[in-house]
Amino acid sequence: MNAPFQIQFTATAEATYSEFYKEAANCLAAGDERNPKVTLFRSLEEALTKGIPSDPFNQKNALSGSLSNVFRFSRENVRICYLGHERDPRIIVLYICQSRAEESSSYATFTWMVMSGKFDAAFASLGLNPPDRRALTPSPTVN
Amino acid sequence: MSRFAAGTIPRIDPSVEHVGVSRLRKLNSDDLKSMDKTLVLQENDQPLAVLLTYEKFLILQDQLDSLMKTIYVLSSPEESAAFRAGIEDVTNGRTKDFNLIKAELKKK
Repeated sequence: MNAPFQIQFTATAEATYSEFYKEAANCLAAGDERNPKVTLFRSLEEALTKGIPSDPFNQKNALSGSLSNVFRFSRENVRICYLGHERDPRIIVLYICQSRAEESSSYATFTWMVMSGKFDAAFASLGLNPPDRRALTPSPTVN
Repeated sequence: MSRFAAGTIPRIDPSVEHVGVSRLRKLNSDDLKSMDKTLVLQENDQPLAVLLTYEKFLILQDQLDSLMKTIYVLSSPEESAAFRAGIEDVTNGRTKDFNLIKAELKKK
């Protein structure tokens, strides 16, 4: 990429980033360097300054279909969703969020979503019975 | 309804070839490297397995992961709300340079 890579934030992303920054700064001011809030902010910084710029339009991070210009980058317990296109050396961070659980596979996530009943109406419209929920597992996250 | 309405014409995928299991024994590494079709291996007209290149499998895997991520983003109340808010910000020009945000936070 010839032009310098630019990162812009939406107001939504800026609010979250500022909150994470302030929480980490407060911990550091109190000498609590090992606080998870400091770790979280460092992961976020690392993702924004190294992880994403190194390969911003990796298709592994792209959403599908009409949302293929939207990317969702994961680094440890931070998720960064941004808008971008290969022709433009600029991305716009739509939002930042923190995952609550351990990393899990997409398949496990989908299983959980099916078991949660989100798709019962779709099953019914196809004449299918809803799945057996006795094996319901806790909510996972998508990496 | 027209005879050619959707669903009345069989759909043929020319990139898929149905072959007998014996074809598998004839394949060597060069055949596998240059294979441009997906093979459905069958015995007595019963499909038993699918053979596709490693690259094609990785593409499929990425597509599935993308789909799962999309479903997750759109289904998670927290993420879908943040996604919509982010898109609304972009639409209304509420964006700011990352370096400027960092500089402002350091000043405070």
